[in-house]
Amino acid sequence: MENKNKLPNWAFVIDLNSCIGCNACMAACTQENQTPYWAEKFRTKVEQAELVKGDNVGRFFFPRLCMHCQNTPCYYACPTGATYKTPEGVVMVNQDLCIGCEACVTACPYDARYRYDYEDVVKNKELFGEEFSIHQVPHVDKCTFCYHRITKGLEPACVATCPTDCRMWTDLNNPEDPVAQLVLSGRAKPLAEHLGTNPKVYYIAPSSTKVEPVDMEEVYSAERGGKEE
Amino acid sequence: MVGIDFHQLLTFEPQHHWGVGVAIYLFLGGLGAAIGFLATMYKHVFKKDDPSMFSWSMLLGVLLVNFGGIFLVLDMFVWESFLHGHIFEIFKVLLALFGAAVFNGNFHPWIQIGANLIMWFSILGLLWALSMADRTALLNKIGFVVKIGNIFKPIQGLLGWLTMFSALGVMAYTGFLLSVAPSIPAWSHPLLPVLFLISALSTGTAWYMLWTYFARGKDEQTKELREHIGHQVEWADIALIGLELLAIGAYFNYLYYAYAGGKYVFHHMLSDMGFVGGFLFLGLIIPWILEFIAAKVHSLRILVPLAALLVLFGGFLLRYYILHYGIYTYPWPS
Repeated sequence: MENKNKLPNWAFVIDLNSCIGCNACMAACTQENQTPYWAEKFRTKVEQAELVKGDNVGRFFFPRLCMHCQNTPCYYACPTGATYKTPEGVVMVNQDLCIGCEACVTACPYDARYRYDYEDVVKNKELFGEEFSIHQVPHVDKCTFCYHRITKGLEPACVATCPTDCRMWTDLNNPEDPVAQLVLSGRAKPLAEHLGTNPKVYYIAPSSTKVEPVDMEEVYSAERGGKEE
Repeated sequence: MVGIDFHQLLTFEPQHHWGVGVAIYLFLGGLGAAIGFLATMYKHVFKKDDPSMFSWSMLLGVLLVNFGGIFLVLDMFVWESFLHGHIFEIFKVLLALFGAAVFNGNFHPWIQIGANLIMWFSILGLLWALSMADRTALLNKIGFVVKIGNIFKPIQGLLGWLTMFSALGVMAYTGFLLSVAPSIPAWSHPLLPVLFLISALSTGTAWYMLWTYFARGKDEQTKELREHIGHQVEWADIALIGLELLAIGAYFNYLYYAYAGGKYVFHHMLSDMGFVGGFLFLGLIIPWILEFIAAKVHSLRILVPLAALLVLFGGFLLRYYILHYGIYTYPWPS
């Protein structure tokens, strides 16, 4: 009975070992949330990183989005109440109240917010039509965990579309869920914990970056041997 | 096993959201509030009586603070909508001015606190200046202004003290405003409000140095008083610049030892000729030396306005470079 009344404690898990950098998540998000791709502004992005240490090279993709911090710097910075939190803790923006001071953008430690400019609004209305445009006025935009979907029991668009299941969605109030267990066991960790922002997005670190050093002499001699043959 | 610790990877990225417009806002906010603060302090703490200088200075202070506010609004999106003919969008700004906290219960945002401080400083400072209108040059020739001012004469002291506190708040607020960005080491710095407060007071004293140098007064009593105030503010500024140098030293010390991102900013800021040559040298050390010479050698009083202008220049540069070096430390590799 108690569990039925309890609000969900939604969380997002990203496994950096399985992201292949296909950017399908960005495309799905763009379509779902009408983000201004023409200006290269996205609610979620996939960074590419090459890690080099000596002769060891690791390459991986790093998806990122709003962390929906529970100790929320953007919420505390917003002077008009445009940034607010839903009862489940999802951080949202009321575009009608946003004056575009960008205090929230500077306050966000995770680069999760961007300007939805006047030109973007006009272009969006051209593309989707005045009636179907979900961005009616200029405002600061950010990921909402696809609130309109998750409240209907669906997954966020990026999770639903991810071909490698690198993006995972869970309710931490359900400890039986294997994804929730990744968080509850401490295997998946939030970014920049020292800031005390208490994010709801967790990452599983890439094991490929812990690479064994390669004996380059062995490689060279094998190559030489190959040529000689 | 040799590997790369994923959690140690950081990306440093400059912010592009708050630029010159916000630097002007912070500079004029601090300068205007400091001018008002010093006027009320001279009147009510040091019991000096120069209504013309104090009233006009206060009016200028209020004007500067509000004029600076325009630059913040110009930086906002509502301005874009306004320019495109959506004139009512601009009134959203009033939500911040009149306290959205009442509606959403969020009392944290510094912009909102600052907007309220600026509003109270403006109203109280204006009434305080008007309360001396009958003895203020030019103002005393406008009948209705004198009449309004006379209504507030009985509470001039109360208005003065309240203006002084709100001015202090406005000066410190300019530093607190930037402190809300936890991943920008140059901004989320505990010393920034103190540094901006000292710098604002220093620019405020520069204004009084200029006034007392160029407008020495007509009668002997005013001349004597302005010379006395001029001399006092020079020494005050010498002390303030000394304090500012100390605060700058402490600012960089903390930046270097407290954060990984701080070290990055430390090296970049201190290798920028604009910051070192423009702010530290031209805007701080040179005027410090000039003021000291002018205070000691009476025949070199001509150095006073030059030093004051350099202090004002330095005050703007400090805010500009702090904003410019607002570099994010992101917790992912690049």
